[in-house]
This record gives sequence, C-alpha cells and structure tokens, in this order.
Amino acid sequence: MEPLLLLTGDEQKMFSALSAKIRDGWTVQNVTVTQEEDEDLAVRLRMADFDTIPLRSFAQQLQTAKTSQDYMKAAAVFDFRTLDPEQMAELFFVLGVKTLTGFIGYLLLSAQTDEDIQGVSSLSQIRQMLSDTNTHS
Amino acid sequence: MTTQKSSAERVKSYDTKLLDAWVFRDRESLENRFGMEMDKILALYNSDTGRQKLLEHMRKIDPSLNGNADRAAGIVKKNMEQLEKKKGFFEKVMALPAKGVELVGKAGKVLWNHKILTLIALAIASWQLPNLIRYFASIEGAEAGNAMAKAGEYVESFLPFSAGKTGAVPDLGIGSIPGSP
Repeated sequence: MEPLLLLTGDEQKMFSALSAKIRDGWTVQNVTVTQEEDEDLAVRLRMADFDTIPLRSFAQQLQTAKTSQDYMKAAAVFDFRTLDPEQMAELFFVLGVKTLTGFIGYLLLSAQTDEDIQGVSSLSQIRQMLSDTNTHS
Repeated sequence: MTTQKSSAERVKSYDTKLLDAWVFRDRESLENRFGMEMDKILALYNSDTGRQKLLEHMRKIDPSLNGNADRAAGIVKKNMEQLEKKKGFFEKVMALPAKGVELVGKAGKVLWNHKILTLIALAIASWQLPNLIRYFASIEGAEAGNAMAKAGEYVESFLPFSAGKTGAVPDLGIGSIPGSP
C-alpha cells in the first residue's frame, strides 16, 4: 500500500507530534474535506442495507449494556475483517466524512504502532473518496 | 431577524415517519413507488409547475400526506441526491479492485484493533447511536480519566446527530434497527 497520508492542517499537527520512529517513511499530503450535512447522513442511514451484517444481536446487547465492559463485550463479537469490500463501502458511506474525521483524529492522538498509521492512511484515502463524492457527484 | 438552523436542528425537523416512508434504498424502489423514472421525478421537482404535479402525485400515492407533501418531496430530492453520491462513491472504491480491497481491508483491521471505533461504527450502523452518546455523557463525568470516556469525548464531537456537550440527543427515530422487535 502506498505510504500516503491525506491529512488536514490540524491532523498534520497531530501527526508531527508523534515520535520520529512512527512518522518515518510516510508522505503527508495536505487536503481539505467536504463534510456531509446531518440530514444527508439521516437519509444515508435509511438507504443502507446491512441485512447481511449480523448487527441485530449487537443492537440488542447495546440496549442492555450498562458498563464499559458490557459495551466492549458487544463490540468484541463483531469483526469488520469478515465483511466484503462492498459491505465496508456501504458502512463508510453511512459513517461519512464527519465520523471518519473523528476516527482519524483519535488514531493520530493515540497511535503507537506503524499499523495504526497504516489505518490512518486507509481511512484518510477512503475519506477523500467520500469527500470528492460529496463535492462533485 | 432570521436565525440559521443548525444541521442537527434541520434533521430534527424532518419527521421520522416521513423519512421512513420516503427514503428508498435504491433507484429501482424509488421509481417503482413513483411509477416513473428518477430523472423525470427530478425534472418535475425542479420546475414550479412540475413540482405541483409531483406533490399531487405524491398525495395520490399516500393520501395521509395531507399538508406534508412538500416536506416529503424535499426528502425524496435529498434521497435522489444521495443515491447518486452513493453510486459515485462505490464506483470510486470498486474502480481500483486491488487497491480498493486493500484499503477497506486495512480500514477494517484498524477498526477491529480499536474497539472504541468498532463500537461507534456499529452503533451508527445498527441505529444505536443515541444510546451510545447517552452512555458517553454519563461516563465522562463519573469516570474522568477512563480511557473509553476520553476517547468518547473526542470522537463524540464528530459524530453525526450528536448534540455535543448539551446532553440532548436529537430524536431521529433511530433508536431501533428496522425490523427488530
């Protein structure tokens, strides 16, 4: 995978604050992103078809969760790696630029391994596709 | 003096029933419901006389719309826009088969590695986000310093439909996944 990070100005500052070892080998490209309006996301959520994703048991667990452990237990049973690319694309479309920006910021603040930065790279490239879609189509 | 509504307020102003009734998962479902092609619906919406015809048509499809036909038509317009955007996004991801697969694979892995992100993504997809946001709000004060609370505090500010620190969660009718008991 191309060692490319598509980061906004604020995110670049977060990345610069990481250790030199983690930053090594990555090329940073400055981007601006176009977020969705909340009403767009409300519509996207209703357009989504997650019937093939076993979300119902997760939803039920979340409704009865009370402690951090309950929430984490619910999250632990679901493995995103089992989803096919189309299902993942569906999920990212629903999450939108707004949520992915939160995820990228969280990862940049907590990154400890190169794998975390690889995740930032992937999410930033997917976010850019979403942002371009928001702007142009 | 006019005040500009926030995005969240605009969402709140969308009636949940209208959203559920007038958002279609795909172009085919929409066209079947209207009995005409999407381009035709859009053309009607975008002209003054055509729009009146469209509203009449929608009232015939659903007589219970009464005075809400205009709002419902706005939702349909938004739905058509988002269907096109979804198509464009999928084409972008799938146009690069190997790269697309690798990108979403690595993204899935990082979500898996960071359970707080798994939790948020799943909460949105399963229509449980208000539940999670309420939980974040409850632990931020009670468990300051808790790693999950800190993560929640940061990520929450980016979440769609989040009311931030006000503690209020907009009622978007997303408290339960469609079809669940």
